[in-house]
Amino acid sequence: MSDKTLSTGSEGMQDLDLIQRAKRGDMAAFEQLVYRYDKQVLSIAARYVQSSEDAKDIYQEVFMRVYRSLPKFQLRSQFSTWLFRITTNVCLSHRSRRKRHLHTSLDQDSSDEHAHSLSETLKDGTATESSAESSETALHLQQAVERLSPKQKIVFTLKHYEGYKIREIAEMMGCTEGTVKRYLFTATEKIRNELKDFYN
Amino acid sequence: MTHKQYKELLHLSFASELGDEERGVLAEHLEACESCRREQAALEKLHGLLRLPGISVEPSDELLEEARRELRVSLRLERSRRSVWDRVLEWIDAGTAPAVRVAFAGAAMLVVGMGLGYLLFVPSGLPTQTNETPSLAAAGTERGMTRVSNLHFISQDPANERVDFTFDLVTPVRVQGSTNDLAVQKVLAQALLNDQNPGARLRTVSALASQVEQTKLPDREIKTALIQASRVMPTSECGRRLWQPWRNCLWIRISRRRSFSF
Repeated sequence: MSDKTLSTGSEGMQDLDLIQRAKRGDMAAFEQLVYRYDKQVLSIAARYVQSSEDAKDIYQEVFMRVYRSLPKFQLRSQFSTWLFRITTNVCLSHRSRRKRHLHTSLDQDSSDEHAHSLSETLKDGTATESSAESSETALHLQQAVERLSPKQKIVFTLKHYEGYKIREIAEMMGCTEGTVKRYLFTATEKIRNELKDFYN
Repeated sequence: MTHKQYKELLHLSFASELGDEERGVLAEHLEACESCRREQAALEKLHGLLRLPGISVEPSDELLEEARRELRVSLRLERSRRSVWDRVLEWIDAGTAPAVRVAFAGAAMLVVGMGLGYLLFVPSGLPTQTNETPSLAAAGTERGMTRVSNLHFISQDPANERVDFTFDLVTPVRVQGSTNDLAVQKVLAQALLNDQNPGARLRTVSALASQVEQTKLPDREIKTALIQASRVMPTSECGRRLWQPWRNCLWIRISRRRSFSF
């Protein structure tokens, strides 16, 4: 679990310079802007969708939206806040490749689907040596998280996997802290119920 | 504070979102409440599971590099798809003050307005480009009785019996000649601009266009009349009749140039 925050004041000043250059068509500046935040975007996406292919889709969609909308970006909010708001919106509206595929191949087993995505996630990461016990826990937890509503899922991911503060999540999602707390509370309760037998 | 509220505080404490004061209130309550202590133990187990290795996996550097590579390709494609007009609009939008944008919009509207005004008003009331009466000496002409029409009084004074007026003196003329004759072509060109009957104008286009010699461009006056006719009568038939010989003429010129180069 990482502990991340939105950009600070000095980072905001650097962003401002890059944004203004990118708005004038400087692609190198745009790339620098992307590279300052893209690891966080990919991380949110990967943990939200639990699939490297879907995570890459989200990553690309986010930065293409940023590229197209940057000329209209008015600097009323911090760039990082705007970027992560786009990221959460893209995550919330994302329909995974697997689910899209499942619509056309009805005979696919959903448990295979979860197993596949977990193995894929483990392959991408550094935890390939994790124990069978934690892999099984991870599988159960992943299935429980998958069953959350999109908003509960993104709040749970941003809080527990990405380490953002509730205030920051509220900024990203464009809602109140109270709403985020409610999503988080409901998500945790649902997961707790799902895993009750498992950890008792 | 109710149990539900203490439960929410418990959740927030595991999310590291409690202030010092709230933490103190919760600790005090936990000492006295067995049910909330059980809740705390259950949440501790759950959050212990979330910290197990393999639960939360950072995306690898390879995945990040792959995503960056794919993004670079998409950006290149996006840039090549964007038209010059889009870039101009973006430039205006991004790099200029609101007052300058208003000025741009005003100038653009002025240009559009002038264009529309020209298209709507100039061709319809366009007078003949020349006052020269065509000489039809070579063609056989037969003149009918001259009629007075379109009489318009400017002033009339009954006291001294003076009048001031204008009128059209219309003489019907029948011409039997060739459309290759420049004088005939000039009459038809004037009719093309002034005749009120659209059918007659279309036939005039037909007669003029079919006789345009393919080896040389027609008289400047006739050329102007044909161009103006194409604005006044933008029908597909008119366009086809007008542009076919011009296209042929151009093609012959290009072919000739090519043949010289060989």
